[in-house]
Amino acid sequence: MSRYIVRRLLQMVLTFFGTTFIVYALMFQVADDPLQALAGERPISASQRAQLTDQYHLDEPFLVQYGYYMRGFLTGDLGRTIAGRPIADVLLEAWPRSLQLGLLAGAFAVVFGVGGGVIAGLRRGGWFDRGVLALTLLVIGTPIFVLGTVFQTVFAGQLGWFRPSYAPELGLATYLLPAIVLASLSLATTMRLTRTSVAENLRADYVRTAVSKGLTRRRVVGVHVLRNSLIPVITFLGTEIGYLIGGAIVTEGIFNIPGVGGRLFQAIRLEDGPLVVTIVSLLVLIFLVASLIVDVLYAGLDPRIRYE
Amino acid sequence: MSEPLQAPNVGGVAATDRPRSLTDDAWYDLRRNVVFWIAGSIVVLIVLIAAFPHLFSPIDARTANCSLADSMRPPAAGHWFGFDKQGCDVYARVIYGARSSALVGVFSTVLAGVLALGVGLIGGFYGGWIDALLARGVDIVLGLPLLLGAIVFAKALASQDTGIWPVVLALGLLGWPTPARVMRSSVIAARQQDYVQAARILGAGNGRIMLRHILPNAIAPMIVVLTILLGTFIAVEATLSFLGVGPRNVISWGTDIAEAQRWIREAAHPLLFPSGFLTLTVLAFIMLGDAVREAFDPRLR
Amino acid sequence: MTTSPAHLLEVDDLHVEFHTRDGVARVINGVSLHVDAGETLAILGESGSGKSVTAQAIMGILDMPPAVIRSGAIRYAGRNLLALDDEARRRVRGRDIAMVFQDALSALNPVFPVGWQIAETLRRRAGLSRTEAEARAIALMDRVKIPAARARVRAYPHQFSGGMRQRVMIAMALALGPKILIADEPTTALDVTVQAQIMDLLADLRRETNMAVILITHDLGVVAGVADRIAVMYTGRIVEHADVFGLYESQGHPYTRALLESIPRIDRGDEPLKSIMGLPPNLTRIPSGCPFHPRCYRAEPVCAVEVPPHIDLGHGRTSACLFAREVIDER
Repeated sequence: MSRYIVRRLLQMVLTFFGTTFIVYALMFQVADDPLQALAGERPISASQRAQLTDQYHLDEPFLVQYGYYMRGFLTGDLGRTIAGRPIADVLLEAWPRSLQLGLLAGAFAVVFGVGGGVIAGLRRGGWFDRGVLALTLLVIGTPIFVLGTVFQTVFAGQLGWFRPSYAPELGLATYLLPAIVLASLSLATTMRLTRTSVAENLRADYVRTAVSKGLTRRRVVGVHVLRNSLIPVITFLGTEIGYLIGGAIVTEGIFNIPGVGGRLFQAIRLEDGPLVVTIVSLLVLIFLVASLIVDVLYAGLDPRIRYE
Repeated sequence: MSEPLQAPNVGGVAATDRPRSLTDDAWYDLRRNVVFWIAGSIVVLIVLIAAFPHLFSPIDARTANCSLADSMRPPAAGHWFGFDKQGCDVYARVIYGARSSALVGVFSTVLAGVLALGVGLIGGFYGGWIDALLARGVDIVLGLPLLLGAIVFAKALASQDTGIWPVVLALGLLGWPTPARVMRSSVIAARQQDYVQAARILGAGNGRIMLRHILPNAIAPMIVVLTILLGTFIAVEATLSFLGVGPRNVISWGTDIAEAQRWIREAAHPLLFPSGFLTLTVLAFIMLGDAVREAFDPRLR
Repeated sequence: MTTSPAHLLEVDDLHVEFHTRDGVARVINGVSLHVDAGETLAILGESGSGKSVTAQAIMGILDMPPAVIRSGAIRYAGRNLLALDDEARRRVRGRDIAMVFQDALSALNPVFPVGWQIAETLRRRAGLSRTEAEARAIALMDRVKIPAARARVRAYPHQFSGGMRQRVMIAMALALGPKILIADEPTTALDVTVQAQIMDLLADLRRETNMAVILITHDLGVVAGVADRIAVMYTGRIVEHADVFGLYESQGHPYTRALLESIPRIDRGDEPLKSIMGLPPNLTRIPSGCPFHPRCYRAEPVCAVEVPPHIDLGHGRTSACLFAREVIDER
């Protein structure tokens, strides 16, 4: 097991550097005039050019530039935004908001996704099952920004159940509607996956064996079936983290939440190169670490994986 | 493993002369699947709308004279979807907007498909260090969540006149890993089949084996994944437009939805119609891919 | 069925149907059998003969739609199991009647250690603590001759070989000390040498515990060394029933005879292999009269009309053939 973890860790490190390198290359190399890219659409003077060149080591070979950038990133020196504000400050402020949103959304997706899926899988063909299939299909087909916009209009605008925008005085409650929107796609796919997994596992041979051992139906389903059914779901939840990160950008944008995603949204609009690259690198890191944790969990659940 | 809890050995020998292959069984199931026909028809319809918008809308949205006097007028005769904030006919914009979504979807899927095919085929066939190297490449690209990466790519590659190509490149270059993995699995499975051995004994070289024998047999699962991916790409493209980093200077559902959202308090119809079309299109591709996958899945027999 | 003291297990004229898309399949059509402590009854038949369904009906693990038990009784120590409610039926499983399945890799749960699975019934139904149950599991693994049981009790099914896995299943079935063990094709998925070991193990266990064993198989070779009596099944009914020596010596039903003749024999040199012509019938359309008549080498017109009764050939032998007495005298 520990060998597996070490292997995955090494993979993660390699992937992290590879991915951030690509992002860095895109932002600073692909643009014709990287200095202009850094400054956005504003014209820059000669002295600003000189200062930026020095700050970002633009007169040195590309790999060196990347090296400086990475060193800064890994030691906590995240640089400054175009406006000169320390990026670290920006992120420190934005981070807790995204965390609350993300955790809430994750909780919704897991609890209702798995719960609903198990019930649907146990009563396959029943009305609950059909309802689940239809509803989840609709959610899967609706892009998140459409869902967010519609929910905001209906539940916050017309029905008035929620505030349409970020209202910090409400505490955690202000993240309720955004979390539902953010969780929607994950919830829907998790529900379907769990349903299929449970339905499939109910027909497995080991279920027959467990029944013939005289175990109660509750135990057969609650222990034997569930444990096997959840394996593909957990793997899937790992990949969903990536989606949650992307979706947070849209959701925070729609609901005006000044979290990490919201800041990225703004940074893209304002063409703030350094901020974009730094936030993306950070998100990649989070994504990779989360995937690693999920993979380890998966190996813990399915003993067949550990011995590969 | 047999399923003794099912009715055992009920049917006798099949009535047809030649044994039914998996494709035959799959097509048989597919033909009777209502979802397949509905989703398929919608896909065909969208393709037609994208290819021949003038057949569906008398007004050419690209050259239409939008009059602010018509701003936010509700649906009426001749203008079934009403007008948006700029006074443009929503129906015409929806019809003409299909093209950018469809083109982006198709081209990015083709790009991702070609890359996935190459990587999956070569990695799966040769194995060893080539496969390991390609697998690291897959990891690296997968390290970037799709939407996140697409935003960065599209922004970096875009300039005033590039149209849909930055988005196409972004999606294609980011989307290939998953179909590549699927392709690789089926190539590995196919590689171990007896007919590959037979071909080798007859003197076939690697290239010939890969192209003539393995590829046709391994490609089906990847095609299914690509169909579903197409739907996803259309959704992502619209999201990019919504965020402001989508294709420039083209009519797009995403930008229209973004615009409509700003004025939602005044009227809902400029939001509803493009959203509905978008959802329907994405759903159609996903359901189509799902239906085909279920039909071909031997485990569900 | 008889007026003598009740058998340990008695199946009395069981009829089971499956309702499928293609019609109603009559899977069990009047099966009656019995087994007592210390006996091994083998149920022999091809796929589709209904042998597995019989076993599952006894255990009560048939999926009740699409299966329907039309009529008949299954009596264990005098009580009709079919008349019991679900909860009472469940209590009989494992404790009184246990079952071992064909493919141990899929029959065992892949995500739990084998010791845990063996001990599960001990924990849940016999109230043992975890440590006690694990100790008992190790003892059971020893008993079924799994080497290094203590070290392997926490291992997973996929880490064992086929033969070892089958032993694990047997250990699991024995945990609560059942009176009857049903083994459904326990060796079909195994190599020939391992088959012999498993069959020897079953014979030993039966001697030690005086269990009744019902062995379900299609393999005549497996039956010979282990069974006391053989019931041959075809299309959901028992067409012949005899003690093992008698059956191998002479057969009272054309189907049994054809089965025995189809075994390849080294001492018969270059003779062409004999097989039974035709295929087992579609269970939704069972032939009229004797269901075997379309494939029978000595079928006569009356066979298509009359359903043969069970003819008593003496010494506990019966045969469901109108011409049983002639058949048994053939060569």
